[in-house]
Amino acid sequence: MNQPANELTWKSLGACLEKSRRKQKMDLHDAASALRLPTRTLLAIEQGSCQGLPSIYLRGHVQRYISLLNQHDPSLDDVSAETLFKQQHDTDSETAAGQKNLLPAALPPAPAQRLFDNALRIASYVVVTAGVVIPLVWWFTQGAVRMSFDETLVSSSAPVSTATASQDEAAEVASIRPGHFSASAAPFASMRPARPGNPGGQDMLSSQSLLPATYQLNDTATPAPRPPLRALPDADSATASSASGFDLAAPGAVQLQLRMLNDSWVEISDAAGERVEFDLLRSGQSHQYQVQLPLDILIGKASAVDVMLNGMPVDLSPHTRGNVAKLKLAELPSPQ
Amino acid sequence: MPLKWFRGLFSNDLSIDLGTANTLIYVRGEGIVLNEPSVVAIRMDKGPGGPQSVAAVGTEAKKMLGRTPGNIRTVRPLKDGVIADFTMTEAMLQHFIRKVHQSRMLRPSPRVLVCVPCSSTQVERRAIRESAEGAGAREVFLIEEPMAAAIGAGIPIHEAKGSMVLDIGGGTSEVAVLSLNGIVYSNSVRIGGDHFDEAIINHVRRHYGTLIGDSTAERIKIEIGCAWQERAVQEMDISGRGLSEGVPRNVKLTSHEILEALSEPLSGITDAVKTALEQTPPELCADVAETGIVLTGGGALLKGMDLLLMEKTNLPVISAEDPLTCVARGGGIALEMLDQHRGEFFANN
Repeated sequence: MNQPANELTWKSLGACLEKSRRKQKMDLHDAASALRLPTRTLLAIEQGSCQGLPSIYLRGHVQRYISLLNQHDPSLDDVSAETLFKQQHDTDSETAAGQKNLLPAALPPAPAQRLFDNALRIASYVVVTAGVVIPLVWWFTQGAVRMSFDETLVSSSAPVSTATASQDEAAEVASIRPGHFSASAAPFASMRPARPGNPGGQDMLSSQSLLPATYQLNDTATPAPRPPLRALPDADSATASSASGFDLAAPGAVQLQLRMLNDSWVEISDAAGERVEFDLLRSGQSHQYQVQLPLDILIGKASAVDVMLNGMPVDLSPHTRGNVAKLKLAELPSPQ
Repeated sequence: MPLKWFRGLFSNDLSIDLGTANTLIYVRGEGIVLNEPSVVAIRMDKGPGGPQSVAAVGTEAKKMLGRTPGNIRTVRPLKDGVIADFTMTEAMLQHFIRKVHQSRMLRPSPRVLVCVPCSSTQVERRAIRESAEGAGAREVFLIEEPMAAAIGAGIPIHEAKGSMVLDIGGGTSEVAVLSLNGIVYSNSVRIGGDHFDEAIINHVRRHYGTLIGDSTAERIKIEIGCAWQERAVQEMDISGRGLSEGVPRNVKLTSHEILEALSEPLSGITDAVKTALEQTPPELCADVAETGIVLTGGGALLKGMDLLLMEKTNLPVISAEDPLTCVARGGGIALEMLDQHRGEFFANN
């Protein structure tokens, strides 16, 4: 056992063990009996032809044999044998890895493979994160931009509704307004807070967003014929509306006025079948529209609404059933 | 489920040796990354009936064993290799799984392989499975401990040749004969390292009228415990509480005394091995006689354990390399070969 570890082979180790056994005048059978091993296994170890044994058994048997001989021959030590066990273990691992049905040893993966696995994991993490985060960020930022753009337009349209706005400016706003209502802006309409003087939170944006998307998009390309404009639902805006919104009306249009005594659902469609109003109108409000006859009107609570056409009251009672008025206004009401 | 799958992309597969005494975790590609005692410390600030919170888990909790104030209780959530306290087991697993995934941003959702005693019932296995799922596992596989131990020890179980493995754990000892990637015979006895400690405590109380704690008993077992008579007698001084006076007392113990104290649980284990040999088909028995019995588990570290078994069975006995981690390593290897041998090594529900 004085040979260097790198020169040690199973054969030399076996010869060394045999020599030590003979030196102690120990029979092979006695040694096998003491170790509870078959004689042929011990013989194979001494002859160095034991590589067929799995490493766990080989290590155990050789270690036990060395410790048995050590009792009488302390010159033997199992330090050098460790090298052989390691070699045998590595050989077993390689053999195992080479065969499909064999169990590979519990060796850690190669550093290159581990690096590749880590890089792959990080790459997939980055790709998935980018795939989720970037569209979300884009969606939110785009939405915010459009929202601020909408707000700018609404605020810029406010002077148009007043008597100070010129007709040209109003016409420009009117031509732009239907177009800037894109489908993507619609989700933000519900997020908009109620404006002062408009308790229902209704404004032009919310009522326009109720229009069919196809109409809105087509209208962008062809601004004329323009949809009927709605005046601001302000109770004291009669003078303002006459100065702005009404001036934009087409020839032959009539003025429809609703005065709300109580809350009521109102649906009004004009001659072209387009919705002029489609909303729950609140008590105390007054609404004016420039529309073309005939009109289809549905009022959910007839007693809560005073309807006037060109300043003349419309009698709803003949068309009311169960306090729901449904009528078609084809001509101006006759003066009383 | 999709969320678990997504989180699973960033989680490592784990093999867990959920033992009575220690829990070991093997991470695929990294080896054993956690080896901590299966102990949980619970804080009960509003009394026994009030809300409970986990104060410490693992090594920290073990330090508290027997030294806690009234509002903290330390528990071993596993007993005899199976779950005794479902909630605490789940909390412990959750803590360990998070610990081995410390650097991850997402909550881990790994595939988990848990080693179970071969004699555990369907209910016990289901409890382990649900506990692991509750702790965040995406998919749970169960493997019987002797199978994992044999794989971890490096026994060529794929060969048409019988191999015997004896795994002495904290709560149970499992003996099995394996061949062709399957278990031919297996038996489990509820004797393990904890019973050795218990036997030492009983011995000291009976012979010296002194009460010692679990930690001291474990220290005695590790330092002078033996299963076979040694030439040199080892001695150890320990302290305990005298039962008559109620004051601390010093006692000197010898390895021969401990051998005597351990004789009862040791005979239970040797009987189980003999029964296994009796029940094994003769062809496989001949193979075992040629190769021997492989010892794994913490019990294999008890001095003279191999000599005792060799004497009792007349067979060569070999201690596996690093026997404490054999089960976890074997589970890890089985997990690594999951795609190749899907379900072949795994236990039924």
